[in-house]
Amino acid sequence: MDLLILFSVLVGSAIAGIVGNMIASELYDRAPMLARWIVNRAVRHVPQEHQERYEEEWLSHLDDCEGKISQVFHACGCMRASYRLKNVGSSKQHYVNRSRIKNTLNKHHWNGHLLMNYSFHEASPRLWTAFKSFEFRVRLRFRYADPILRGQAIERWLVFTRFRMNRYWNIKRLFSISIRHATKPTSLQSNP
Amino acid sequence: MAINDQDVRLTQPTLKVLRFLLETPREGRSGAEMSKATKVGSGTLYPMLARLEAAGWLSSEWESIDPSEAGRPRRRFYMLSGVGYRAAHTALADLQIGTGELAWTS
Repeated sequence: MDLLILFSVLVGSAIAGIVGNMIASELYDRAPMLARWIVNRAVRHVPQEHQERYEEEWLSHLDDCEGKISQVFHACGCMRASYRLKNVGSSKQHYVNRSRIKNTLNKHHWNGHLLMNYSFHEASPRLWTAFKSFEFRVRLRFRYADPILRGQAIERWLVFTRFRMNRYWNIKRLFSISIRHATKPTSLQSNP
Repeated sequence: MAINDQDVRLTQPTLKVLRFLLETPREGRSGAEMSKATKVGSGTLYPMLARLEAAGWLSSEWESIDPSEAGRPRRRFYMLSGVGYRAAHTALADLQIGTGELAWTS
């Protein structure tokens, strides 16, 4: 009985292997056609005025792809690009999470008061941005408006973790929004 | 589709593409060439190129062939504009990415 089961398993796996191989081979042969079909579908999602352009451009890119599998990858990328192209030039590129920025600022004693001081001085802080893996660092430098510390430059690092890298440039916008919405200080003596 | 400079997000793929284009600023490069050289996939590359073009950093033109004669679709070549050349230089100099370490300007 055991031998029969073993034999059945062997025969079954051999058949499955052959059929799987045939299907994979068939799919591989049809990959360029599939890629072309995906590109044509993707073009439909592009804004109408750009459809003709991207169809030709993406199909030429498809011809330049080395290997059939890379053609399918390119086609899938085109599908993704077609959805993202809709947002180009629109106002949908805001990744504002103001509360998160404010929380971080408060944690570092950068309260609304200090930010408003910056705002009163109307001096653009020199802002440097860079990224390392998924960490986002910002260094700001500006001057106190405090009567005692007036004129002294301060410089601080802020580190935001788990920021998506492709969003980092919007940090400038986040700061400008945070600054604009910061509470007006009641006393100039309460600087950290 | 025009956007301003503030909307050009200088992500790592964008910087890779800008650096690649800076190698031969006067020469047009197709999407396939850029994708191959920078390893940036089509899904990221084309929206990025569209944004850079809309911001005036890039200009593009069709390959000068007749598709029916050549028997293949025309390529679209992208090149840096004057504004893009300066902006790309500034962005790469400011961030100094690619040296393995972060370097801050002061």
